[in-house]
Amino acid sequence: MNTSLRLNGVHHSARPTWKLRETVEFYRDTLGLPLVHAVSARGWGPANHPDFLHFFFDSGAGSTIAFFYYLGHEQPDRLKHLPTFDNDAIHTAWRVDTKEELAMWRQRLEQRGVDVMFQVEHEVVESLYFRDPNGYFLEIGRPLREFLELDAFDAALTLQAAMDEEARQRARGEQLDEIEAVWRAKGDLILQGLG
Amino acid sequence: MVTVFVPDIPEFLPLIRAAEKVEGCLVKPAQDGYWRLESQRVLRFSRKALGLGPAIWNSALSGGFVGRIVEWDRDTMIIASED
Repeated sequence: MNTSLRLNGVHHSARPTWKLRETVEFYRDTLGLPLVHAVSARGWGPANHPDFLHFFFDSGAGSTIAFFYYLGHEQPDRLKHLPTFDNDAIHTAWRVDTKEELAMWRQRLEQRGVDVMFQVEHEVVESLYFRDPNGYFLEIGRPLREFLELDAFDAALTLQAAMDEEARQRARGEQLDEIEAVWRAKGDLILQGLG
Repeated sequence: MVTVFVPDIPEFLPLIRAAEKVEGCLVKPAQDGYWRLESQRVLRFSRKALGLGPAIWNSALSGGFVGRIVEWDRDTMIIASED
């Protein structure tokens, strides 16, 4: 295995938008993320591919958040962001380093009329959550601690137990629908490992 | 036998401290990364009495366990032996 092959952070993540002005004003002015790059292109590929703008905002440490704006293209219902748990699972979480910085971000957002939906300490990060003009879920968080070796060990056990249990249930024609079965499978794995 | 494995990481320490106050619950120090909460027949926890918040309550068994959940709601958790 080539252990030197690593990714080096995020260059960009990208989403479509159907609100050009609102998106530019929110990311550039409300959040204050510099607009650092824009591509404008005549459609390519399939004949019905529209012309588009693709633009990037600097979100720190070499990362950007990017959008596509397709000219003359109506937003399809399937891409309308619904404020539901499964839609909101798709989100970007930016990192700040201190409690003071997080408080300053909250103040900035609220001063500019952004609704900070909630702020919570959960496991390894304290985060505040809000939405952009597209409804996309955004998060700014500060790590509460670094990941430990045991976090990785425990994560591997959890996922192994979940995959094993899902395979067993599928073989019986059932669907894995309760976390209890995963925790029991994980308990068995630990017992086998620790003796 | 009921066994609850609790990862030896900071977020779970309140659960360990709480379990030490529970009658009939044997708390074994962390070995290979996991504390063990044990009982021969049944483990019974009350969230309010133990002063545990919802986050740790909802993931209290996420380290894995041996037994079966008899009852688990907002305030009561009862785990019984399978034998």
